[in-house]
Amino acid sequence: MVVVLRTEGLTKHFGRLRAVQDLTLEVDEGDIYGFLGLNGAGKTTSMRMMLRLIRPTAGRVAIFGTDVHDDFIGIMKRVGSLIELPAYYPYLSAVKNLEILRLATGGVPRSRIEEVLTIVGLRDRMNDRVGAYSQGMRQRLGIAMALLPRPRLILLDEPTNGLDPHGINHVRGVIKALNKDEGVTFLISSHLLHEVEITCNRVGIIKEGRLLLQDTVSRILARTVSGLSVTCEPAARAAELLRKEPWVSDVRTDELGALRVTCDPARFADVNSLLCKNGVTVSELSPVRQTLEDFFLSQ
Amino acid sequence: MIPRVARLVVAEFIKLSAHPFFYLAIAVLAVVIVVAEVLLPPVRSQNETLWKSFNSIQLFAYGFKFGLLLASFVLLIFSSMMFAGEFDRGTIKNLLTRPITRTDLFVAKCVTVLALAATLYLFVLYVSFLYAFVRGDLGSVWDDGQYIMHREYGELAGYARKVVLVSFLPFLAAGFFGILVSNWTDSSGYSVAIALVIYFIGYLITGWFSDAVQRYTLFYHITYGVEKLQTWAEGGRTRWNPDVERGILYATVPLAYMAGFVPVAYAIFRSRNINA
Repeated sequence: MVVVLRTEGLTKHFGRLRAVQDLTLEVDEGDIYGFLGLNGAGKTTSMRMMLRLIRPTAGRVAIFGTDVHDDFIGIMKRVGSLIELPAYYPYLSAVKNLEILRLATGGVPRSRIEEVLTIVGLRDRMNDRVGAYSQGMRQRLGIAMALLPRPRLILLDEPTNGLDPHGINHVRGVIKALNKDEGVTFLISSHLLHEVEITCNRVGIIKEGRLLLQDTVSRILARTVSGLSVTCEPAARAAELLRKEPWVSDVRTDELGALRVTCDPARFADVNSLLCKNGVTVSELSPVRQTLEDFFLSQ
Repeated sequence: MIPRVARLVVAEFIKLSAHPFFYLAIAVLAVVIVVAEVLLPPVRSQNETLWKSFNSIQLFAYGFKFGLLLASFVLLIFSSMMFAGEFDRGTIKNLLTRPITRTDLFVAKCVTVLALAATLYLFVLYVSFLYAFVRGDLGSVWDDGQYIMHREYGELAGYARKVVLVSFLPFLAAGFFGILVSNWTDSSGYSVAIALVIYFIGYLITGWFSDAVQRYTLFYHITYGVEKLQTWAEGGRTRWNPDVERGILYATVPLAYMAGFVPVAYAIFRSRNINA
């Protein structure tokens, strides 16, 4: 797998504040990488360092295999970004705003402006002053700005901020379509865990400037299995049997009368056979998962 | 680098030409020039008589002086917003995440200020000339009461030509001062306010200095030429300052100031973290 973005030991101190510490992460080609963290965790500072907007105290960033300091211009021809709130000239139309960025980018045909505005659903309002746009429309314009150079890697910092459910759904669709159809790689920072769970294939969790873990969403979700829900008859007998087993750490009864059994997921089948052998009628067995949100907060 | 800078300059002019303040400033500038040329002759006791109409170069001197002063403030306002405005709106991060360097952007902004200064200067020149030639007559300056020539036309025209040449660099230096101030702060409002206050106070204070000191200040040179022309066209005896002429100070002083402003502004811009 080709690594599109790699940071090694990326560190940023603002005086005594350690905003980012020793951040080492890898985003592979074709990933939709969710960069999760609470507000102030260091996500935006990390992304700013990746784009050379702020200087790291230590560490390096390589995009497409090249250090950003060695060929910034060459790299940025293939990178799009939206960092924090979208920025624009309020007295200009969306078309003029994008024209300025088209000129700054170079090599982008003028027709691309209408193309990206169509993608984000702003074509009908493209000649209106951006100052008159709603928050959601401005956010869409920010995404259009990121898409303008036909990038191979897009860094989006909280891209669904300020969007209504329809807008969120639309942006999610755009991200997935670009990833699937054009192979665009995304690094998306967010604190909306559900959004990351359904959009991204890989996740990195950052807390207090440190990367806690980095893995595929499916593997992280596997780690979120916290026990087994057992609906059986008689429940009291089942609970008694299970509590005697040394590999069962906890048995509780939930509000619907089902048993919540806490044990290693590898022993789930043993729960079933134990209960069946002892004459307990098991009508339902299902793993209990923490949501990604619960898992994230427990880190 | 040149194609990148050229594209960025075009982008700067898209922003500038659509800025709501730009056309208002141009309109105010035109009005002030015409008003100066209409009101100043009676204020300065210049009258029309049977043998004497207003002298065009005299009127031009009135309009050009006030137009230039006001245009230097307009230039200062726009140049002091050049970087601060981008930081203020956050658009600096849009620009610096494109395939350009900070040097490209800095050079493009400087070129834009140069082009804006030239545009404003030519506009002030054009409006000052236009009204002066429509309202007055080209020719020598005559006395109001007697049929006596104070200034011969050729000499006066030579003065005017020199004024047009020597006034541009000090005017441009005001623009580069704006660029320096623009890099001190992230707020375009503060930046404009700081630049205007320093410039205005500097202009006022310079008048209290001795001539030996004044001639090394930037503010002295902005109206140096045009004040000489005004006095000369009114029949006064003021000549070019020999010390200024000897050292070509109307060129060397503003160039020295610009040589100070630009590298400091560039160093600040290069070293800034973009948190906008």
